[in-house]
This record gives sequence, C-alpha cells and structure tokens, in this order.
Amino acid sequence: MSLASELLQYLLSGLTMGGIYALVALGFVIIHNVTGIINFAQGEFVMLGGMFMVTLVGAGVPTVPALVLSVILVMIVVGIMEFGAIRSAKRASPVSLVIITIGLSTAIRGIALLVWGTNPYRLEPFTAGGPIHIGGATIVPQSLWVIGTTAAVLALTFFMFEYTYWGKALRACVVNKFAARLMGINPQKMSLFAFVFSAALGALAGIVIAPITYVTYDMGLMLGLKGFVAAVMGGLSSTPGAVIGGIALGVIESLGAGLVSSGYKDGIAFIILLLVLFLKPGGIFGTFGSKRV
Amino acid sequence: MKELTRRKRLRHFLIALFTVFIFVLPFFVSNNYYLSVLVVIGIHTTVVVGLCLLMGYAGQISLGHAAFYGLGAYTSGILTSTYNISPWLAILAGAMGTGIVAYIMGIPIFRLKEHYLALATLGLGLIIHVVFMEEVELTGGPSGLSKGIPYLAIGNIVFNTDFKYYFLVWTVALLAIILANNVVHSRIGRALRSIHGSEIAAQSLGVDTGKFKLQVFALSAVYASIAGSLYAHYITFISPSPFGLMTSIQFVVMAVVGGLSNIWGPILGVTGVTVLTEGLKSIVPQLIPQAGGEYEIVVFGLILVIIMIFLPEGLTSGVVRLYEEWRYRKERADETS
Amino acid sequence: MRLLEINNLTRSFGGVLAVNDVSFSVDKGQIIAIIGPNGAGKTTLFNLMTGIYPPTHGTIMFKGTEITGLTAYQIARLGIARTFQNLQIFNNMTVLENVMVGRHIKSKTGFLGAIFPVWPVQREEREIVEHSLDKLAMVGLTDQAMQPANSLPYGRQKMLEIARAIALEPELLLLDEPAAGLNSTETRELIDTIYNLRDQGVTILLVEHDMETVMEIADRLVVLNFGNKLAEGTPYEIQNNQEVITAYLGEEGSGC
Ligand SMILES: Nc1ncnc2c1ncn2[C@@H]1O[C@H](COP(=O)(O)OP(=O)(O)OP(=O)(O)O)[C@@H](O)[C@H]1O
Ligand SMILES: [Mg+2]
Repeated sequence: MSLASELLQYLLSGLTMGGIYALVALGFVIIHNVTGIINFAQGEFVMLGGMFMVTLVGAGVPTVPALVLSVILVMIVVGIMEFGAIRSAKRASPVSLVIITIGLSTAIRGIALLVWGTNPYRLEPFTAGGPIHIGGATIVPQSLWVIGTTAAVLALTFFMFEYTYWGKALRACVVNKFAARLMGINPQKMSLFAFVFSAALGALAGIVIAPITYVTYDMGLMLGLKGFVAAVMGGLSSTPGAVIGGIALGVIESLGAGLVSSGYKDGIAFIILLLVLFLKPGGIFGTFGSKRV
Repeated sequence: MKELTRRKRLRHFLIALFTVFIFVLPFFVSNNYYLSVLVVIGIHTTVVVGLCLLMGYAGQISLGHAAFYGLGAYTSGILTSTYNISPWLAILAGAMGTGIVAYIMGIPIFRLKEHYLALATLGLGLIIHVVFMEEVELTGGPSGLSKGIPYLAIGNIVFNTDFKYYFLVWTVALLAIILANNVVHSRIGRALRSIHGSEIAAQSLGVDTGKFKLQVFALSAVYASIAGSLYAHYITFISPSPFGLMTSIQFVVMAVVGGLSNIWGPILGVTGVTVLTEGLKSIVPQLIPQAGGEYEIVVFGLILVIIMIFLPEGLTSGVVRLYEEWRYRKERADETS
Repeated sequence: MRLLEINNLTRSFGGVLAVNDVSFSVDKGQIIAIIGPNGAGKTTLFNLMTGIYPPTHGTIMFKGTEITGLTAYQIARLGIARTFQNLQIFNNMTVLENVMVGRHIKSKTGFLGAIFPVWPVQREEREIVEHSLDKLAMVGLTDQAMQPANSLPYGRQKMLEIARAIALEPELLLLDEPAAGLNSTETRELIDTIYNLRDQGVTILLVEHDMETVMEIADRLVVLNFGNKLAEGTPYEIQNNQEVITAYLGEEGSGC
C-alpha cells in the first residue's frame, strides 16, 4: 500500500473514532456548562447504550426499535443518577464532585460487570455488505453509519439549540449561566435535562460503534476519558470546539497508532492532553472565561 | 499554649498506643490469610498516608498514584532480579527516582486545578501504565517480570513469611504515619493546609504555593514508591495489572473513606475498604454465584458516592466531630452543675 | 522617603478598564483611604499591588524598587500584607493556626525540619505560637485561639484576617473594606487597632465605604471613579471637592 493510501486509511478510521469522541465530548461540554460538573461517568453512558442495544437485539427486537429503546433506557438510568446523587451533592467542592462522578462511573461499570460479565459482545453491522474501497483505502459500511449518525446527531443538536425552547434554554445556560438564571430558567431542571441529553448522545455513540469495537463492560472508561480530552482540546465550554476536538483527536490517534506504535495508542491521547493543558490551557479552539478573584 | 501541649501529648499518646497494638497484634493472629491481609493493609496505608498529605492537607487531587506505586515496584523488581542490585539500594533508588519523576512531571501538572488536575494526573498514571505494558524488554510486558524478585533480608533474617514481613511493613507504615504527623503539625503542614483553605490568601502571606504543591506531590510519590517496593518484595512477582487506574481510584477511595485531613484517616480507610472487599469476596459468590472477581468495584463506587454526599470529611472526621460535640456538651453540663 | 509609588497604573478585563492610569504615592506612617463607588476599581488596585494579577500598564514601586510583575508571595515577602473584601479565612484551621500561617515568611523550617523536628525546629515553633498569640491579643481573639476559624462570627473573622496579616510584620498593610459588616463596637475596636498599628510604624492603605470612619482616621484620601483617579487630598479637601460630591457623594445619597 502506498503511503498516501495508508494515510487515507488512518484518516478514515480516525474519522470514525473521532465521531464517537465528538459525541462524548459534546456531552461533557453540555453538562459542564450547565452544571459546572466534569462528569467522569460520561463514558459509561456509551457503554450502557451499547450493552442495552446488544441485549435487545439479542432478544429479537429489530434494530430501529432496539436503538430507540436503548437510548431511552440510558436516559432513564442517567436521570435517576442525576436525581439521586448529583442533586444531593450540588454544594460539594469541585474536587468532591469529581470524586462523586468517578464513584458513579465505577459503580455503573461494576453493575455492568455483574449483569453482562467480562465477555465482549458483538453486534451485527446495521447493513450487510463487504468493505468499500476508496482510493486505495478500505472502509467498512458501519464506519459510514458512525460518521453519518454523528453528523446527523450534531446537526440535530445544533438545530435544537437554535429552534426549540429547551434547546435555547440549554444554550443560554451554556453561554451564560447567570444570565440564564435571571431569565427565569430553572437550574435544577436544566441540570437534569443536560445530564439526560448527554446520556442520549453517549448512548447513540455506544450503539453505532458497537458493531466495530465490540461492547465490553469496561469500554466506557477509555471512551469517556478520550471524550474529555477532546472536550479540553476544544476549550471545554465550546460546543463546536468539542466536535472539532473529537475529530482531531480521533485522527491524530489513528495516525499516531499507525505511524508510531499501536501499543502506545492510548498513551497518545494523554500525551496530547498534557501538551494541550500545558501549552494552551485555554484549549486549542477556545478560551476559558477568566475567574474572578 | 496549655491546650496546644495537651493536644500534642494526646497525639503522641495515641501514636504510642497504636504502635504497641500493632506490634502485639500478630501474636494473636494465627491464621496466615489474616496476616497477609494485615500486611497488605500496611502497604496500602503507607501509600494512602502520602496521598492524604496531598489531598487532605494541600487539597490537590491525584488519580495517578498507582503509577508511582508501580514505579517503586518495578524499580525494585528490575534492579534486583535483572541486575542483582541490593534490594535496599533498589528501594532507595526507586524512591528517589519516583520522587524526581513526580517533581518534574508536577511542574507543568500543578499549573492546573481541580478537574484538570484530576485528569492530568490520571493521564500521567495511564501513560506510565502503558510504559509498563509496552517496554517488554525491561518490564516483561503484560505478563510481568519473568525472573523472581528476591525476599528482603537484614543480615540473616530473611523476610520470607507473612509473620516476619508484617513487622517490616508496619515499621515502615508507622514511620510513614509519624513523619507525616510531624509534617502536618509544622510550618510546612500549615502552609499546605493554607493552600487548601485559600490559595490566594496563602500567597498573600508569602507562601510559595506552587513550590509546596510540588514538594508534597513528590513526597507522596516517594511514599507510594516505597510501598510499591515493599509490595514487590512481598509478592516476589510483578505485572502491570495492579498499577492501573483501578488501583489509583482504590487509593483515593481509601483516603476519602477514612477522611482526608486526619492522620488516622488512612488506617481507618484502608482497613475499612480492605475488610469490606475481603468480606465481599467470601460473601458475594454465595449470593451471586456467577459473579466474576471484580464486582467489588460496584461497592467501591457506591461507597465513594455515599461518603462524599453524606460524610464529606470521611469517617475519622465524623467521629472526631461527634467526640468534640460530646466533650462540649459535657463541659457545658459541668459548668451548669 | 516614599514608601509606595504608583505610576500610571492600568488594568483592563476584556473591555472593562477596571483601573485606568492611576498614579499616587504613599509616605511612611500615613493612613491613606481609597474611596469610590462600587466597581470603581478599588479591589482591583489592591490586587495589582499585591501581585494577584499583573497590570496592563504602569509601575508600582515599593521602597524604591519596582515590584510590578512580581508574584503575590514575593510581594508579601517584601513587606506588604493585606486582608480581603471577601473573607479568605483558612476554614480548615483553628484561629491560632490561621495566624501562624502569617508567620510563614518569618520562620524557616523546611520539609526536612518538618519531617524530623529537632530542637531548633521546636524552638522556632514555640516562637511562632507566642508571636501569633500576641497578634491575637491585639485584636481581642485570645480566648477563641483554639476554635475552628469558621466558628467565629463574621466580624471576628475580619479581625482574624487583620491579625493574620500583621503577623507578617508588614511595613504596608492593605485593608479592603475592614469595617463592612461590623457593628459600632466592633468598628470602634477596629479603629483602635488601626491607630495602634500606625503608632507601631505600619503604613496603612484602606478601602472603606463608611464615610464617617474614613474621614476620622485617614490622613489623606484617594478617590476613584470608573477606574479613574478623581481626586486626592486631605479629608477636608475631599469633602469640599465639587467633582467628588457630584460623582460620588451625590450618588451615595440616592443609591445605597
Ligand atoms: N477578575 C475580573 N474579571 C473581570 N472583570 C473584573 C475582574 N475584577 C474586577 N472586574 C471589574 O472591574 C471593575 C472594578 O472592580 P473592583 O472589584 O475593583 O471594584 P471595587 O471598587 O472594589 O468595588 P466594590 O466597592 O464593589 O468592592 C468592575 O467593573 C468589575 O466588574
Ligand atoms: Mg472591592
């Protein structure tokens, strides 16, 4: 294979994972902007989405209803989580909140382990058919599903931000929490909404990626962390930044793994993270609001 | 002044009492399994004491301490098994090396705060863990060091039984506690706590907060490294799996459960969590036969959430607060009668 | 000699000019008050002087050397101490320990000494305690020394911040609204403490809204408005300055 087609190959697989990271990163940004919380359990939403989907499909439910049902189930779980744990701890310090979401993610992962065990689950691709060849590189049809779904979900999200009441309220919180409160937007409801919405994003990511990566109880950890890395690259409070950050991370990681060493693939994301945090603490694509002393 | 001396005496008395308790305890524990659990508690206590200095006193989170624990273990393991260096020298080398790594990595990391810091330390831990997995020639990769790690020995006393190792481990753990206690009640300890209280106020009083964060991070890494070395010489075999993110989280859980800003917190937290997980190990398979070995993480997670919500200062501070309230009420009663 | 010289100091936040081209100087032993309506830039001025953030333009000279661009802890070491408008008490410590942190730069035990407290370390520790108890006595907090700092009522916490700041033995003390939230007895105590410090040779710069207090104790006043210096002079001069009356005192009557 020529270098060009090799690069194209990495680019394509990077785009696939990048889409997933973008969805997770978007969830981080929405929750962070609305509640100020960094939700380390974000990756578990992805895992839950994949697991519910696999289970439902395994039980004979057709793809589309299974997909809808899985997303709804994850939203319910996360709603309960927000209601039960996050809400009772709203006044905790940032470090305590970090620890709480780590605790939640650990607990969810543990429950998944109890329910589904350690075996990886496989989901049939949404559409049958062999790999597609593009300029010397190949791509499996499911990758197209991932990229397509990501694009559609992102478009829908931004549409919602622009044109629906809840979306506008959410965006108001995202842009300026204080002003949003002055406008009479109930922060508690928004917090619940932010968590549930991010849960849906995560669940969708988990469902579309399931046929490519398999689903394991512990997949959420890495996906969540990398989604966060992507969000930080994007400046942590910018929604387009999160998307660009996610895609950039996916591509860089794929190139790095291909050209340097695949064993260090997971390390690459964190080396990027450390570099971003140190060199450009405002994120590559955004700036953090300065804190009042 | 008098009150200060009283409190100091009480502290020293409690430490002395605890020391006696610790060194008498093994003579009443005949079961080898219980002894080995106590050894592990001692090793973990050493790590968590350091972590509490960082988290409870300086208020800085670290989700990467298992990596420092691993650096100690691997330095000891590799230097003694591959290069036949004296184990004691290897422990020292590991401690110094880990301290230096933590200090240097800390320089950029501690420009960050709160969740960025959590993430950066987590990232650092993951990167070091990846190195354990990937540097196969040095570390043996995922399957671990192939050559055995020797037992520790002083003269012709070889620490090759749980009973003997218990004394070694707990001597180190007690030293760790005593030295940390000294730090806490010193100028340095106050400087650390002032960072936690208000970083801006601390700086405006002349405390170089950046320097202190680095130093306490390095100190806590040294604690973890020494504990890691002790672990390596105890198990005599190491692989990357005990040095991953789960272990880092476990250390944080132990620290948080015990209470971060009390020197007895680590012992209580480590013992509580260990007893709980060991207990679950024997109970859960009877209740849910198909459960794998790692269900304890559910419990970890839930404990963490519950403690942070209901007892954010941890068990020890909860107990101390109850005691102080009791004392206060008693004094009031004495005054009125 | 001039203790403090501020030249053309400017700081902007985004588009907001919080402090704009402000210059003034302070002589040793004076009590200077900085007054101005809410948002005039008084706290920002203090933050610039104590190195919380650097100025956009301008310089600050302390005892003839430039301190612009130094970090907060370096400035503290040169002898400038402060209190905060939003209390910054160390809630995780006792009252006494709070003040003991104020002795940080006057003592030198390092990590090694902390780990192994040999005799000289213990002696230094005793000195720190004695000194801190002295400072607590100055503000009338001796009896509360062993209490958790956050158990003190608000007014006492403000006095605790002063005790902590003077534990540094500063030459220049910055007080950001020390009388806000104090009752009249407490305000009286505060004024006594301030005079007491001045008599010990400490130069004091304070931000204060309570005009009665300000006019009573200040040797000179600097008036800020929207980041600009509006006027400077003795209490008498300021009270009779037409510009100040319209811009500030007039607003005071209608607003808060
Ligand atoms: N860190 C900051 N970021 C952005 N704007 C700031 C910051 N600090 C101050 N400002 C702005 O600068 C201006 C001056 O604020 P400052 O706090 O210095 O006023 P002040 O005179 O102390 O008021 P007050 O009497 O209310 O304490 C205000 O408009 C404020 O909003
Ligand atoms: Mg102010």
